[in-house]
Amino acid sequence: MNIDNTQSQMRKGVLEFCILSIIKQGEAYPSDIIEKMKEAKLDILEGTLYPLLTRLKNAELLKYRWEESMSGPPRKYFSMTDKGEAFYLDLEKTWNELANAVHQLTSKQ
Amino acid sequence: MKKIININLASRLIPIEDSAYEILRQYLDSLKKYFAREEGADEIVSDIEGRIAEIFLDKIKKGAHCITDEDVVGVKAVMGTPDQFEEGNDTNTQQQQSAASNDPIYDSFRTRKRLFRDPDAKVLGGVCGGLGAYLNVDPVVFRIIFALLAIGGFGSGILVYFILWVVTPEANTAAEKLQMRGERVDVNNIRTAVQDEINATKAHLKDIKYEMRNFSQGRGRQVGNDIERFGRSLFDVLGRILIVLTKGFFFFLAVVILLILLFVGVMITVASPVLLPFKALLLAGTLQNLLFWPAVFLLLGVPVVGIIIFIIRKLTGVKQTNRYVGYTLSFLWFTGLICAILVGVSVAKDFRLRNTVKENFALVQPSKGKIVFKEAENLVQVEETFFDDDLKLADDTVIINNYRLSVEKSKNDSFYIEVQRSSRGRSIAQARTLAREISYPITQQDSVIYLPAGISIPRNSKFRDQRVRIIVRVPVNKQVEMDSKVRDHYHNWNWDWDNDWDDHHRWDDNDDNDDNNDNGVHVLKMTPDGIDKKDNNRVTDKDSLENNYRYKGKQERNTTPVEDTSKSANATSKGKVAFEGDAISYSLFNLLS
Repeated sequence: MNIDNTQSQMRKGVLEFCILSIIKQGEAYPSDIIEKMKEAKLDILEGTLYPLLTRLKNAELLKYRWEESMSGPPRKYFSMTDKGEAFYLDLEKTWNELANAVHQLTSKQ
Repeated sequence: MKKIININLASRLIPIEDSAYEILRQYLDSLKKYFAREEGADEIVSDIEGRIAEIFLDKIKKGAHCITDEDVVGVKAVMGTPDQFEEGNDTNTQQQQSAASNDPIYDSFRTRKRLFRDPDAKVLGGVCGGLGAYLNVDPVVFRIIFALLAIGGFGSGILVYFILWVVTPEANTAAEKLQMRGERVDVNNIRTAVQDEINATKAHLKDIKYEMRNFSQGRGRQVGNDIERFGRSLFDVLGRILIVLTKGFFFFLAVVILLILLFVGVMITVASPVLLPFKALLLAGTLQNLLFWPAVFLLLGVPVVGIIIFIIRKLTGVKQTNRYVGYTLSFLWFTGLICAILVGVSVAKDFRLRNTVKENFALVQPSKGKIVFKEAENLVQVEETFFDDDLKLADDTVIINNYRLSVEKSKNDSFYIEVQRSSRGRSIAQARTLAREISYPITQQDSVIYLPAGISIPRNSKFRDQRVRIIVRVPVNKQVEMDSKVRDHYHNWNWDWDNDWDDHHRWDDNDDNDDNNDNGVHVLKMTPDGIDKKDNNRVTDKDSLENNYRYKGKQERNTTPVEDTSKSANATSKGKVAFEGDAISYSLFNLLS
């Protein structure tokens, strides 16, 4: 068994949730999201983010709007849809359950 | 120095180094391929491109003139390369992957190779490339095999190749290429394969134009060029080999001639102490003597020198030749030639005329009516002999076995001999003088006459083809006997000094060569009609044969010993010379053996 694999699996599990939570706090564009993730010590590659965002957008959990910027190409600002909100709540619930379970299991050492 | 191009990245104009552009393009292609299966792949990619453009513009704003390789590499690191991406979708494939890897059967199934034609490694149709990938062997091996089959197998190689070309599919997609190589076909491998392919193609092409150029000047054409060059160089080499061989041959020839000349020269030098007396004998007069040595040296020496020079030039590779060398050598050689000719002419003149001195010698009459000729022992110490004893060299004389004996009817009742000494010379007087100088002493002892083995020429005299002829005058009904050695010099009929001189051996044609056998003696008898000029000896021989076979037969031919010569005379009145006595059987014995 490869530990990298397991670790990567763990991360992958929570990625969507994390990103959604960032966007829930407010409109954000990808660079922004990455910055925030970095701050939370959860580094993510842009190449990973973009497809994820696109997927979420395609699933109508997110929507975006273009914003022209003076210094550079137009940016996509992502924001949550209602569907996304509901989705997020579900995920939050799942996460809490998961966290409790894990916490419970790991603390019994 | 690098080339800079402008690109349109997410609708933004960005100056970027050519090489950096390559890296970027490659990256974006890999992303496209990676996200190809994703829904909204284009969007993802354009988002990423936008992000990259943002980063680039930022850099430029900060003062960079253009985007460099390092910038692109940095962006790649930040964005991540496809193999680093982690998404939800991965999990499925990864699980599949691990499941697959644990199953050996599944594994082998997956890694089973399929034969494709490899478009990336093709000269003609990629058949050999595909075969090489399938069997994990260098495709060149297959190309060699096909080529050999085509040549040696009467073109069967071409047929096989075409069949394979038609039948085998080409591996175009990444999946097919992986299958061709027998690698597991999964997403990761595809990614890797695609990456590799990008790298590989990148190494060859820059853009479409480049691609076209490469196609038209494909390996096939290159091979054609190579073959052409090879063919030309082959002819070149063949021509050069031919030239070298010819040169070598002439060189070899020159060496051979040189060796021959040297050998001749050495022989002459070695033999000169022996030959010198001959030179003294042959050459007379200051002119001849003077010209002789120069003639020899120049005639032989110049070619020797010339060939030596030629060989040296060839060996040392000296190209330039001194013109004068050739001229002087030719001149010298011609001088030698002229001298030789002069000497030759002069010597020939010395042999122009012939003169004979004739003398008669009375003989003591033999009691038995038969005179015997024997060859005398050599009285002089002989040093050298040449030509099978015909030429002997003594201390101060040269003895030449050059005498001839004839038998003719005597003009009277007694035996006598005529000795004719003959010589050639420049003039009649000279010839005569030389003839007189011939020493041929004949001695008689009872009924035996001793003839010297050869005529002697004193050293300070000259060789001028001296000859001696002895004519024995035999009275009718008398006989003459000669020993084998003398017999060799016997000459039966009238002859000229020069024309018939060598005919004496004809008599011996039908006999065995009895030179060394002293037992064979011959006896001749003189009849009233003389000795027949025709080839009666042979006839006589036959008769004798018949005679002795019918020994008791014909009384007429029955010949008896010496005492009954008169009877024999009657018997042989036909005018033939008869063999007589014991001598017959002995000579017959010699005839038949």
